[in-house]
Amino acid sequence: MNYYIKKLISFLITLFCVALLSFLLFQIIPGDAAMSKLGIEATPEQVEELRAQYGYDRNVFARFFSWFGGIFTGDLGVSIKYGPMKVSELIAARLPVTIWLGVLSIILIVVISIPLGLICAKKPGGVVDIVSDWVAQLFMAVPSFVQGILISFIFGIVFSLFVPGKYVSPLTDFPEFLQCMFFPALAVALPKIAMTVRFMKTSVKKELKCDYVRTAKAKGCSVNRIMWKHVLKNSMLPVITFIGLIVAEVMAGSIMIEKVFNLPGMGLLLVNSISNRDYTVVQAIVMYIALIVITVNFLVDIAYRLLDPRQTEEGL
Amino acid sequence: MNTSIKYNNKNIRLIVGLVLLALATLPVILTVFVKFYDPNEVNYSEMLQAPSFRHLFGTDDYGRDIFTRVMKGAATTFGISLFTVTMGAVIGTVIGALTGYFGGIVDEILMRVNDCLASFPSILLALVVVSLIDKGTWNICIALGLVFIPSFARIMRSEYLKEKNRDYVQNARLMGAGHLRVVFIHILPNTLPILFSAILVGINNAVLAEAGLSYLGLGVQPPDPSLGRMLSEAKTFLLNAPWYELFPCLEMILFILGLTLVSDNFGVSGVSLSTVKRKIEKLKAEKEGKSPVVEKKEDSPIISVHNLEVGFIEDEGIDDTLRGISFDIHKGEVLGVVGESGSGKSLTAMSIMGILSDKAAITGGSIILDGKTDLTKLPEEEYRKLRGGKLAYVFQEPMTSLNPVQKIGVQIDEILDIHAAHLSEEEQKKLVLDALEDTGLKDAEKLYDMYPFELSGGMRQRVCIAMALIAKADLILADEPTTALDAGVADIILDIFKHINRKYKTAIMLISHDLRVIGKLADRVLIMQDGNIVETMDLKLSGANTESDSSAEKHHKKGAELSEEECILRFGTPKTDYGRKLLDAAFSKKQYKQKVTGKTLVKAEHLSVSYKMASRKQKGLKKVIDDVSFEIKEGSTVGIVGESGSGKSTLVKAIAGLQKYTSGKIELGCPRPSMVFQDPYSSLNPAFKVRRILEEPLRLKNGFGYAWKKQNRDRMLTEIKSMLHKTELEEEILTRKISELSGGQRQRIAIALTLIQKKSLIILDEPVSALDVTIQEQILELLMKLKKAFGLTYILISHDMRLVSRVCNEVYTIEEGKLCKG
Repeated sequence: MNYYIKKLISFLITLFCVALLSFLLFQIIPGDAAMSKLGIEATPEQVEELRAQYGYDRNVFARFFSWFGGIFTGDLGVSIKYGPMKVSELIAARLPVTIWLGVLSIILIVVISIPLGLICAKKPGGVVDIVSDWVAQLFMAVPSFVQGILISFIFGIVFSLFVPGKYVSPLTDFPEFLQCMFFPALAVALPKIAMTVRFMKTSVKKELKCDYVRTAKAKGCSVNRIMWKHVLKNSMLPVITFIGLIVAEVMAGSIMIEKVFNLPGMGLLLVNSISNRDYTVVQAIVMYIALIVITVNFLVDIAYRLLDPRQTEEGL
Repeated sequence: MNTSIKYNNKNIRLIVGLVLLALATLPVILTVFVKFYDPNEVNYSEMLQAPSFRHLFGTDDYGRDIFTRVMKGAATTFGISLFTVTMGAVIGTVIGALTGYFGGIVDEILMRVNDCLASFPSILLALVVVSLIDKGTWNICIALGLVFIPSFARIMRSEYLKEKNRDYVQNARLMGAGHLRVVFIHILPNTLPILFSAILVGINNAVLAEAGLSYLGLGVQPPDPSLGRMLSEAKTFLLNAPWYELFPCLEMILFILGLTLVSDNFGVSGVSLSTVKRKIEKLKAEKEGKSPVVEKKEDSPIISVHNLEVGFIEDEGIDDTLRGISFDIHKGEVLGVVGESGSGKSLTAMSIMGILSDKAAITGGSIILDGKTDLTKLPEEEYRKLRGGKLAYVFQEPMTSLNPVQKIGVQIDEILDIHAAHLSEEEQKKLVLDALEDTGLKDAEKLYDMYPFELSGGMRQRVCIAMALIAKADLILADEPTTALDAGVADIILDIFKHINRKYKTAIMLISHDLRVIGKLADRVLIMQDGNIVETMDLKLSGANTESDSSAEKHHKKGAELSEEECILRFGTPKTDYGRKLLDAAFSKKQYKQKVTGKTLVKAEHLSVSYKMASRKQKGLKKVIDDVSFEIKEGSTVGIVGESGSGKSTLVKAIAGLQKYTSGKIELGCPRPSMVFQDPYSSLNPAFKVRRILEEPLRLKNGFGYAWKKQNRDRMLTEIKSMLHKTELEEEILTRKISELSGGQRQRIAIALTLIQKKSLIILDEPVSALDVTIQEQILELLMKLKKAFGLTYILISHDMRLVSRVCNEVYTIEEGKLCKG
């Protein structure tokens, strides 16, 4: 069977499992959303009425499948906190902020860490290697929200380079978008850049020990030629997978950073909904974040496949 | 060991890490015992005071002492992370170990669940769990602990998947160890290094995760401090009380930085290779001067090596590996270099090529090219131009020596890009195709666009030779070029070398551990031992015992068509003891056959083994062993010969009881056999010391808890010592690990292990093929001596027809699952 079809099927299965998991997690709450909305003084009739309104009187399977269908039709129920507002409307307004923040962060990660990792591995023990290593260690030792607070404080308040909490869509005004999103994206990216540089370095060092590098050296290749023509492509393969994994971390980072910068994204909505016990919204957001992660990883698998000639037709 | 070059081997980073960790944790431990302030005591008269002697770290917005709060908070944070990681590690290890070891449907399901869990960012999962089970310290512990389980399970599962197929696991099963004993006593110690580093990374992540949860208001509840809470509470006071944010942050940095430094550098050498190399170069320059130019002499050899010394940079100092060797390579000759592993053959060739590994350095002597340039002093940029041009190298491993993601043609063409950039694209391509055809490869045009993985080992080695040919090198350094190849293919490669040597008058330095390879091709041979050249021999012409001066005639008959007898004749008589020993061992004809009179010990009738095919292409059953019948008499040595994939290891496993068979039967007239594996390094548990390895069968025999009593341990020790004596080993190796022993010693221990089990039937699976030739003979002799002394029966599995015919009473050949006699 074709590799891509196989991957697509496995993607759909994971999608289903993730949805099921997101759904089931919220079935273990004692009582249900109707109870928590109305409080303990509510009469049983009131509770029954609300339960019927939310569809809680149906059995678990029926509810799961109607909810699962809702993922595709955009109907994921009604927010418990914001009354008649639909969950999908709440999310739709905030999804672009999170996605653009994530995209910008990943661009920063790739653009900074890959060349830096190569340079470090080329001259182990050199100035760039040692300095970047210590800086990376430092960034990995400080919680991301503290880095966010410091960035927001220094660049937002002391130097007034941007307004924390402001968001402009890149489609309406790109320079303005860069101005208000660059620093939040940097805050999301910094700890992950530290991780990726270290990973890239290890990957390149491992490749440098391979026999084909010795062959290249015996052919008379210069160090630069070995790096760019031979090692880069080989060491990129594991790094691509690693960046796929980083996407999950970036999503997690943006939950924190949106709160630090007060950006109106899904992360902020999630945090607020958790304090409001607005479970229908929490459930939907959890689902959507996981959905983004598995979609990106699916795309990464495809990219890997296209870059690596070794995987034959029958291979996985 | 070279003592003239000294350097520092302390790992500074590890020490710094330990100091940071101590700085972060000691005050925390101190404040548990000594109370300065109550961390939660509010004092509005001392709000937001700067650090002073009264309040070391200042006070916060409630006038509470920040030092006390940081220490209390750190205790909480570190406590939470230790608890969660321990919980994750213990449960994760058990799940990972069992699913990885047993596999099956439970493993499938758990891995699916794991994949799904991995799609949720970990902090998100923790958030959801906390929001579902409510806030509070214990709840974060449980939430984070749950989040850590999958990652530990994943790591341990992959470790167990890797370990469970290693020979030592098979060996333990053969001794009669149960599955749980194998999982937790044999395999677990081997996964500890990975588990240890995963735990350190886990603690690091847990500290950060606690901080994150506390920042979102879902962690430790006020007024109790935690580092995360303090960091988030302090954010509003960045301008007027920066110390409030600074000190908890500093505490966290110290702890995590210390932890990372320790886990990254634990057991890692602190020697800076580049510093040591600079030192060595300086010393060498002081001794011999810096200029690479040498006074030219007439008619000088291509390469003239003089007093070359090469050392490896170890933790304790420089380990001398080449100890001052001198030799010449003349134009157009084939110089053979022979010696056992570790004698320095490859190191010599790599020194000439200037491609020593990072850890090796030339510490003395010279390598003169064409009588005018000393390569050991040549600047890298000029040296680079020689590589691939004047000097070419063919490596041992054709499977890995080519870049896996580049096309064959591009890889060969690269040499022209570097050394003949003036040629046009078309001219270059034509030269590449010519070179490929010169090595006997057909369809060069098609090969040009193929990737290495599409080629067989023999084809790849020809591609490597084509690379050596294309720039018309004066000297090809061929480092065990045929060792990784099947016998037939190896002969073809040797013939290609012969063809090149004759056609282009290219000098070849042919390195091999195999005297037969050398005997077929070389004009002259160096015998190396322990980094010295012990003897140089001129090889005689084949077919004639007289020396001939005509070099054209000298080339007349050599190459693959030479028979073994003709090879031996070419060597003549070595002058040194070692040379004689090596030659005797390599061409030994000593017979070890013993007379057999015993009863039938093993009887197999119509034995078949089938595997279920998992792939979609071939459904159903595949017969690996197909209707096999044989008998083995007590006291005999039976050989089973076959190529890899012929089913011989499955047959052996069936006899040993490790493999269920589909039909037929095996009758054993003795207990289950024990086994000596090909590679003793993997068949003996690398985590155990020799004494523990040899105790295992005794512990198993006497039941659980036997080793707890001292008298029993002493009894075991006596038995082990007597066995060491019989296998001619010293007692002092009992306290060593397998990695600290030589190949011969390891195989002797493997033999001692089978003897301790008191089995009468022993399966020998390629028992000597991983060993050097002189050691091979010693092990064979030992095996045969023990056989006589204990009345043993051997089943010998090998691919080496010569060996089998010398040792066995009966020989079976196995091909595609079918067994035939003789």
